[in-house]
Amino acid sequence: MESSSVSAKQARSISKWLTWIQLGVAGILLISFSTLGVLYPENIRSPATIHSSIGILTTLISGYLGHRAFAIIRGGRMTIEPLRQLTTGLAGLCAVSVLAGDWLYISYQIQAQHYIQAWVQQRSYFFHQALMDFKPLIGWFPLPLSVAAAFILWQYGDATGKSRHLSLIVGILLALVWMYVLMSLILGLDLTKIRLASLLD
Amino acid sequence: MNQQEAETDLLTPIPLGATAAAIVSAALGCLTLSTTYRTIAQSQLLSGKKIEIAVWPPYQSWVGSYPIHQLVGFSVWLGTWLLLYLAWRQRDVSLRPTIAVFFGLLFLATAMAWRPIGEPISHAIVQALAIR
Repeated sequence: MESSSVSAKQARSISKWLTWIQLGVAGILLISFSTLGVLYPENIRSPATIHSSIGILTTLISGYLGHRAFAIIRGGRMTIEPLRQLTTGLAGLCAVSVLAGDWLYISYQIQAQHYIQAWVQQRSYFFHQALMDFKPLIGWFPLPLSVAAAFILWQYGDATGKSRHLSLIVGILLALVWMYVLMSLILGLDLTKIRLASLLD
Repeated sequence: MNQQEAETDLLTPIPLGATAAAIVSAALGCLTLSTTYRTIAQSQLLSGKKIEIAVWPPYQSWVGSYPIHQLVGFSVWLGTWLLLYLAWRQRDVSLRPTIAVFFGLLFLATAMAWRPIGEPISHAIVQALAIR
């Protein structure tokens, strides 16, 4: 073999690095989508930036954990420490996100300047009724579910991976958290779009 | 393998009591949250309440009846968790009924959160409790 060619081991190493760089750049770009909101000249920019940045971070972490969940449900090996830390962090992020979301949703409902809810209801009553009224409730669900998952992982530690019943329950919880987080992310993005439309109207 | 063996945990048997308490109370908290939200929205008596708060959230001096359902849902979640934990922590409960109850409650919570389903049900609750 020629000395200048790349060995299989080097190729694997390069591909691994490229994967991580790509993931990192994608993550930074995704989060900057919301953190750049801090530059907008408007009065709800601080809750909006906190809620959307934490929300996207929550989606990234719960997306990772949601994919791990299926391996956990199938009974694959699990290393408890990173899983436990990530789940605990996820529960904390959910709590912050819900509080900042309340702050925003109240202004969606009753803020004196804009009355976005009234604007939406006037134009598409069903849209508000079926989707926007669903969002503040569905966005709350990941908090108790991820707290329960974190509780099980802290309570039983390494034994969680060795018990089929416990790993099944943890896997189900993490997959459900991912589902609810995705639903509220999509509805939240929609709400942002509608808010901009109502401001331009 | 008979039914008895299939039901028992093959790897490490751990009593499921504390776990069941955690997940059932979480789902019950979700159900309480969405039911309370819908009921308050249906009841003019309750939704007319204006809660004055100066610190949270900023920019508003009153927030309508909005925080009530979260306070109720939060209290029911943590309250039932504590009670069920104290009652079940030494006991073993079966896996299947636990998961069935958990999914049932969570499904109801999601259905109540969706207004076209939740509104008629909460209307009936308001009528029954006479809090219109």
